[in-house]
Amino acid sequence: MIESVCIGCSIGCSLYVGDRIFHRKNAPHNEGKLCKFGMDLLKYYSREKAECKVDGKNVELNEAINEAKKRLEGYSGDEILFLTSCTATNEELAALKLLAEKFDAKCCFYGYGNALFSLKDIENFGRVILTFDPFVSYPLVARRVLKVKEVYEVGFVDGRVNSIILNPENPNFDDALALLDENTIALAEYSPLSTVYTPFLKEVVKSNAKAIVFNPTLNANFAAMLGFESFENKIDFDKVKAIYALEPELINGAIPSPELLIVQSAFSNGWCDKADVVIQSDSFHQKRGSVVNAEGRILINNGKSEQGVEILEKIGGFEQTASKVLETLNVNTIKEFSTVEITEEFREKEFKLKGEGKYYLTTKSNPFLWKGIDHKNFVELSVEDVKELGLSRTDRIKIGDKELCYKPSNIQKGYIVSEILISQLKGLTRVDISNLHY
Amino acid sequence: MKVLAWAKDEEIRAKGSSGGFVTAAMIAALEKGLVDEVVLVKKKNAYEGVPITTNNVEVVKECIGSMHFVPLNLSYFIKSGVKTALPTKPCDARAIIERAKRNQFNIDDVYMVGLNCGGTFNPVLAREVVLSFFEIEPETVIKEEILKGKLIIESKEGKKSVKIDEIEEEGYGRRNACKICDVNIPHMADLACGNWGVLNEKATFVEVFTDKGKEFFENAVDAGYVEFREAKKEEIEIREKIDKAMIKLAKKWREKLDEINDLDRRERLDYYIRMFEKCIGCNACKEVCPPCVCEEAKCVSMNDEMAGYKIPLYNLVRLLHLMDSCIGCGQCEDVCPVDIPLTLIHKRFSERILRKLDYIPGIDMRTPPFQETKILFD
Amino acid sequence: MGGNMTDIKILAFCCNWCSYAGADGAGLERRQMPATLRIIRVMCSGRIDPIFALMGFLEGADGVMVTGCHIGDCHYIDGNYKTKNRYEFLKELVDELGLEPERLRLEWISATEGSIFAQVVKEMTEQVEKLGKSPLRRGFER
Repeated sequence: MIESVCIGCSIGCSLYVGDRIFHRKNAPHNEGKLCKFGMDLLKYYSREKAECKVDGKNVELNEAINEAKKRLEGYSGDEILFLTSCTATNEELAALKLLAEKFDAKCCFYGYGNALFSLKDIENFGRVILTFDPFVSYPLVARRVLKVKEVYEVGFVDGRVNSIILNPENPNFDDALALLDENTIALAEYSPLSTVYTPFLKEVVKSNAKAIVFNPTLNANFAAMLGFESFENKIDFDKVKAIYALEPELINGAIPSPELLIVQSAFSNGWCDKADVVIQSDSFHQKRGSVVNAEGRILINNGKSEQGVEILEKIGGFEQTASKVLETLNVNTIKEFSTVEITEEFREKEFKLKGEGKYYLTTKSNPFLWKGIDHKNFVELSVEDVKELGLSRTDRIKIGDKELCYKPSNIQKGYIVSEILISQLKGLTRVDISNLHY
Repeated sequence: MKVLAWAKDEEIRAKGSSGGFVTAAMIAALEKGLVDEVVLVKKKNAYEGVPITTNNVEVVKECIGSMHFVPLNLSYFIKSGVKTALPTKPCDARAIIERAKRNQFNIDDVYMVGLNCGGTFNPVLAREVVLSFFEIEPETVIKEEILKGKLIIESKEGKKSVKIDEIEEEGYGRRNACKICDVNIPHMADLACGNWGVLNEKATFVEVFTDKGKEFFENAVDAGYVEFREAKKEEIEIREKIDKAMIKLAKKWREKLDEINDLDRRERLDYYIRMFEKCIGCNACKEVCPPCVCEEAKCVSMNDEMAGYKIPLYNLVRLLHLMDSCIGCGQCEDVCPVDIPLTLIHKRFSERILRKLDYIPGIDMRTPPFQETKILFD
Repeated sequence: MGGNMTDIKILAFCCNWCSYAGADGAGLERRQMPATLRIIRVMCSGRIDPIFALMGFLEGADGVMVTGCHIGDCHYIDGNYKTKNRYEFLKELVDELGLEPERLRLEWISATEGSIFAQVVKEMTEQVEKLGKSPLRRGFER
């Protein structure tokens, strides 16, 4: 059994991976506890592996590496973009950074670095303000939140706790911001789905209020420490002619198509299908390396493979990765479960309500969603809407091009709550529902 | 048969938590071919151990010593058709018996080397205890021991001891499952080993219960790995006294921890609804539950997230199925991501029916009453 | 709460050979029975998993009846022995869960005992009406 880290989200629960998932109770952040995704992790790892390919033809690993190197060298630094979803070890990210430095190119990720508090610290606050449903989005936070006296959830539909309900046409965070004080901690998510909360997050960070920001990708914090740039709003894709993508899972929705696309990935996905060169690396649990989680805690993944780093080092022809990691973390040796502090300047992203239709679709993020797995086949509708749509128990509904079941729920009329991806990464959207009358 | 036994090998005797009998006897069993494999916990540090299956004597020697901060259950690691010996806390032994009843392996293939158990600690809380009650840096702990109601921590600076009562009054201490557990000597195992009754001596008090246990013990003696003498009357009495004290303490905790007892009927229902409302459906409690062996489990397949029931069917099925099979090991509570007090809840649901049936799960091979085809009730 | 007669729902599991025939007999004899009753026929009362009863409560039943052949009369020899054992588990579970024990009932009714069937349903309806709707009902009707 290997001591490993769950790749579901930036909490990075420690666990053992063997023939079965085994709980690692010694881990201070999750105490061995796992959410549904963590329990299902083996299923995720047994997905179809990526295959080394050059222009669609299967090749050996070394050939793919050499081809990637050769092709990359045909471009200048400002034409190349290195990007990652951060589901990678510190070592791999450091190697990617070194490679980018070698080409004098930009290195991008999706996420926001912020780690000053541990999950356990949440219990010590008198009030918590959430921008996500902890039971769905980051379930390991829920048990900490439950120990806090006053809990508020900012959102569009009624939550399980005190709700601060926003107007979707014109979200106003004054009520939530008024609650911020010494004794309050804000728990927010930074993801493509949460852009609507950006003004709130910005105010929180600006006011120096206490906050923990969770990312849907495991190692966004270390990418921020390395000084990666934000993927979403700083990149002019027209200029980019070549992309080197390391484990680009999260951003599956909009895959760019530059002249040259090199993908280094463990599993086969949309990016691999589009890539000119695919380099297969080992899946995360086989890797040896460390990660930095949402708390700024250094966690160790105790696999055997260092292939991911070796690939990048071979392409770049350098080998200082290990020292780069230590230097970035500002430590002499990597000590498991020790913590570092991270604060990053907040980057604003504009939110605009999109789509047309009668219903507001709100999506609750969760690890399954980011990994492209539909783990549910239903959405929640309000009881009134169910009646109005004339839905009987076995009926199905259609939203966009997705056929779904529904669950009547005590939410406000006119809203849909989904835990699966219905419209591509838009956060709050307006949609219509049609009754399929089964 | 009640004896005091110890390892002949001086090194094993010194390193073992009480005379190294278990380690020596395991080695003897492997070397003489009594068993094919042993299941042990390999210590990483005071707070972490990894279960391993091995037939390598050198590995066995590395796994010496007790681990009170590693709340594991080893019953999952026994393979069908492989003769296995393993150290069993009472909850391990009960888990093994329940799994054997459900045809996971033949109970005759398993040598249960019982360990007397006064309880285990959650490793994360244990660190806090070490830091705040002992004022020792948690990472520097070399060895921990529970003796006469005291937790003894050995670090580089020497030994320190604190009464467990004192720790538990503050809300720390043993796992809830251990606090209310009233089986401390594993009389359902083949033999029971421990330091209860041993006075200032590097030796293990061993009580042999079954023929298999006798075979295992005699194998170790015949192979020349273990020496022993009969236990004295005084020693037996001390052991019994400790056992009785532990059972009394368990009763006290059972009442103290039960916050449901004071509720009336409707409040109780509200309490259960409130607790199971938190459930995120991760199925972890089922995965770690030793008596739950179904591959396609009813609790999972019947559960319908869309139904919007007040209590998920998953939890209700588990409550029902564990009424006659919960062994109180507390593994489910350990891994519950939303901290539902499952040990106590399952205990409450099973208590009444078990009293009626005069049945205790995991102490013998009696058919679980729920599966019985003759009438058990008047 | 109280509630009027039509609001209460009693779910009865009847075995094909005895109690269902009994219920049928009650109808043939034109005995007055409350409109609260919903019958689910199973081949043998031994088929009734306690979970079915719990599901009944969750789906909105206010009372659940488990009925079968008299002990010794089972069409499948020992089906109702199992029913008896499992019912005891169910009874304890329902009681501990916080539902009133009167919401649950086990009756052995033979094919000729239509009058008893009608009587039992009447009694049960009266009892459950006193207790009101089941607190396990969903907050909204599906």
